[in-house]
Amino acid sequence: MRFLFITIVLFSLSSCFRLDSFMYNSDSTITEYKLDDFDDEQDFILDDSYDIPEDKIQLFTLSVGVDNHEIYCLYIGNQNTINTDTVIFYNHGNKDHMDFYWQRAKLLAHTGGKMRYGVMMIDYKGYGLSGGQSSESGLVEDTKEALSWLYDQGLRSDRLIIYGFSLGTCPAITIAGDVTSVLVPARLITEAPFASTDVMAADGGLLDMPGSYYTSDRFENAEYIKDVEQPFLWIHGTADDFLSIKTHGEVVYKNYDGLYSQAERVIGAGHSTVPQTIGFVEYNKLLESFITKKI
Amino acid sequence: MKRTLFIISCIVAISSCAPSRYVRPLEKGQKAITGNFGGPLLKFSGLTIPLPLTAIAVGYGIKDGLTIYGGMHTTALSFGVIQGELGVVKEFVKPDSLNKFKPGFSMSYTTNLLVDTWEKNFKFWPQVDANLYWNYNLNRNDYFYIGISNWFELSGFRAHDEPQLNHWIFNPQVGIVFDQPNWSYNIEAKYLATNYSNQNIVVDYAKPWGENGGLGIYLSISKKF
Repeated sequence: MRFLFITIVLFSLSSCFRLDSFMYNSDSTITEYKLDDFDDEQDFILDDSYDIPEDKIQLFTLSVGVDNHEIYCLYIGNQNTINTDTVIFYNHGNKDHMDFYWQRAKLLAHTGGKMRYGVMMIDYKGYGLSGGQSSESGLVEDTKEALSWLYDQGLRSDRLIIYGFSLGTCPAITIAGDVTSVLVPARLITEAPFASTDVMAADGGLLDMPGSYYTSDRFENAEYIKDVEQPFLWIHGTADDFLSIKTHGEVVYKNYDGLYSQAERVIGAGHSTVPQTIGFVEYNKLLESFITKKI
Repeated sequence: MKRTLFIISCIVAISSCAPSRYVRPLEKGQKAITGNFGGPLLKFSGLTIPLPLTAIAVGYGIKDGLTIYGGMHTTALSFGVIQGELGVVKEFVKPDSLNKFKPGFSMSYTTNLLVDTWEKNFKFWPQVDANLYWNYNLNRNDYFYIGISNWFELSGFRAHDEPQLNHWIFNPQVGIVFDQPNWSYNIEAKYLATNYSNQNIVVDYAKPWGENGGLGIYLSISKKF
């Protein structure tokens, strides 16, 4: 028995590891993107009226970082008119890959009418067909690379909207407050944002427990939002059973001190059901109203 | 995301990671080393399982009815979090050796100390347990106990300078100890955080009692010297 105890202790002491990689719920087992033909679990499926013409969907890759990892990107709209169009950059959440979020991207492409705005989405490193390992810094790095590509196509900051959902609010908020980014969004939209991993730990354990006890990825949205000056729309379901509106969303919203803020607390909506709960048409109207609001 | 929370929960469930230590104090001069396994039940991949939290503890009976102990949480350690505990348990009432229905009563105080090896964030939480226990079979040393375990959060704030509203975590518990001369075996169930909602948090704890608290199951084995 003494041997067993000693073994346990030595094993534990010699196997210190981090949980960072466990934060990411990516699926890299797919061999291709199926988009409308994707028939696995999805938050919702739009009807045919939301179909996007095939020639307005472009799938391409970019190389990121010193290791030149390939990340996959999706652009809905006409690439030849990016230099005059307004573009919504969609930072998707933590689930699987872009196929899972395709319906959401299509819905965004109907804000203000069918393809009134271009929509771009990427799979972060480790998600879908994108190579590499996921990390907090990687989310930001990948997004910046995609924004650089948009810049090269002629997009400028005054025509960029960034929309972050759940995990995607991390790069969205970080970049919105980063004046050194090649493109900084004119407006920021977040849906179901994290406050930080500190809050995740405290919610899970009830005690004031530092996030450093389990991960070095901190997702300090509640702090980074303080650097954001642009108009800010925050959307959160009141019945979010994953990232509590009270301990996560409200804290992020309260810490914003920029030009204009708008809160949409969606009664009865859960973590992944905001668009359905609002209704797709009303959801698009809400976004259009915020994007075009004179401030 | 939720599949990852099984692992994360191993750390965040710190306040519910061990059973009560030495409900009935050791005899004077007696030493014991204890290993325990278990934790809160949570849903993972369609199953409801206890978190595999592990800890070891040593106890010493400094006099009759008074035992000191210290412990180290090995699961936390494997994640780079040094979680130790130092405590003392005192027996205030001995169980009646002639009447199996008359219980003994003990209380313990534990200081739970944590520091991570990554950013050196240090925290401590005091814990006070109180237990009634019965020698239900007067021919044996086995006993059954019920009690409460209380954790206290002393910080006035939580992350991002938000006010800390959770200062007292209340965990009723019930357990049984099969006590032999050199070994003892213990199984304990706790109704964890009875006084708090289990809704809208990242960890998907099993919720056998509705919207408050969770259930923890712990097994331990002690070798006495």
